[in-house]
Amino acid sequence: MTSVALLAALPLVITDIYYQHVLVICLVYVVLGQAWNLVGGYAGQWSLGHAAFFGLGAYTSTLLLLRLNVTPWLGMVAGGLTAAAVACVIAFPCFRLRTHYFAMATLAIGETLRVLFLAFDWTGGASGLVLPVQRIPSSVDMLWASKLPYFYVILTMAVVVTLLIAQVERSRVGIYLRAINQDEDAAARLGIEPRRYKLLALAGSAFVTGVTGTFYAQYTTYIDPFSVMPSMLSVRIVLVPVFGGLGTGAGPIIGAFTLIPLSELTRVTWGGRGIGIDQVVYGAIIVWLTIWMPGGVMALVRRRRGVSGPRRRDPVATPEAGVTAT
Amino acid sequence: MSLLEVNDVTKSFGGVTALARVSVSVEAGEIVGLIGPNGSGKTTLFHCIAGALAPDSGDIRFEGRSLVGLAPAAICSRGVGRTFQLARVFPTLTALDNVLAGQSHRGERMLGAMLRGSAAAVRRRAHELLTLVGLDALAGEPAGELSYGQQRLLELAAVLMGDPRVILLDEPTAGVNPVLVERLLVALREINGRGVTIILIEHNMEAVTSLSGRMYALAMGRTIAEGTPQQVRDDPAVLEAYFGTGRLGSRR
Repeated sequence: MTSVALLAALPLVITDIYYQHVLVICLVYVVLGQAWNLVGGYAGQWSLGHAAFFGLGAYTSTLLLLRLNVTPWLGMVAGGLTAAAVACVIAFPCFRLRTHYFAMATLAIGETLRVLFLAFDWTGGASGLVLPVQRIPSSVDMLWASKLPYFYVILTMAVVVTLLIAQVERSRVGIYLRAINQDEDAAARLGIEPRRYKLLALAGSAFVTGVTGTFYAQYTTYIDPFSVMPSMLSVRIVLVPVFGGLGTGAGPIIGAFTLIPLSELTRVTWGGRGIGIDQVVYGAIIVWLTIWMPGGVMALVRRRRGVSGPRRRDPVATPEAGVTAT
Repeated sequence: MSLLEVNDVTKSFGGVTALARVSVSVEAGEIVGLIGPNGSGKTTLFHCIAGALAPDSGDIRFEGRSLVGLAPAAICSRGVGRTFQLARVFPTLTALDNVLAGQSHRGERMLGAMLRGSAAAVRRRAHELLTLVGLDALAGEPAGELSYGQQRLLELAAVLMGDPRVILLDEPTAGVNPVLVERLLVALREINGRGVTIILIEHNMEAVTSLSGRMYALAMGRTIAEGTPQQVRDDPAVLEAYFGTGRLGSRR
């Protein structure tokens, strides 16, 4: 609670537009990381095609705004639903595949979608789409000159999504997803239908990713297949929870607030020389951090606390709580 | 009508016939033992009943309805629980969560499962089952840190959480230390006393003959004997399957 309040107050202290921009991007990756974690971290289905969901969200709301003048606030939901619908279609063949093969299939589908959007005329093709910037500022059109409104929108999204995922983790579905992740056949034997729950996780994840795509389009006011659908984006999304801690609520937050500033830092320091040295340094630092803390930051925290981590207290197991449980 | 009827089930893998027109029939409330040398088709039969494998021909009926073609999860929801030959638990989930993963899916709404945690009554039942198998003190431990024998007991508790009418146990005492075997046998009798039908594959002759009311013996994918434990144990065909006849050159 206090950390959210502190975060909300941060842009009042940080008035530099560049740092505000970094904050917004960090929060975008918190949301994307949480969403990916649901299907990748908890359910163990490594999607490498999440950029497609992001791009679908961005294109859906932008096309609705440009062609039909639908407010992005509704377009956001439409974008999420489009991404979720496409996820359901993708899931049909892809969930027949497991582990690496699932990852490869999603990577291929993501790339295919990007190439399609490059070829389509009605999506602007390679020249992309420009949002109606002449209307700035307009809250109905989710277009502002200042970064502050964007910051509060994405902060709200980050908080809501984090709380939602935490709720799913605590619920029965959380147990089912982790069970499927560890042994799909053993889960099916217990009556858990693996495909049903994997589909639920993927669709939910795609919805949130699509909504974030809409936000990003509104924030940057220009989209093309290279900016909202590159496979590098899929990789960056995966990196966030993997770095912070797979299948943990805190993982994507830690991951986003470490990796994004780090990538910005290397870009500012070594970028702009045209030889990609910033990417090399960024990659090297990630490799070093991963060797130092395999399993992510949360695994390191757990190891420091004790060999097998904190014991989960069960309310019914303790007699005094058992009385109040009824 | 029997609770579970396996009629003329055949299953081949390439040129190997694992099951050749096997028929087994189990009444409600029974404990039925399934014995036979390694490779005689016992586990394949379980796989066919539980939906992990599809039989090539024949029918499997549970409560009068065919199970052939259903997915494992659907068969579980019909009331058929099973344990594996090697215990399979979810290692990073706590023992309690392992049992909760097995809660009955009959009539469950996905939205309800998403929004609500497990109700207090469900959790109490999970603790009850952990107590039954003697693991309640370890409810908060990750399952991966339990001994192998304890994991077998945990797997059993998780399967029971789904309210099965019949459970298929594949060598429940294999790799379990003698003290835990005693515990397991007591638990199995107690479970059977509550009305759960049990079919078990077992190599521990003492355990299987003391538990079972009836036994089947399989060899080379065929049923070679059926009857009381005494009858099956003393059947010449069974003795031959396990030990050979003792006369050189008599083997086919």
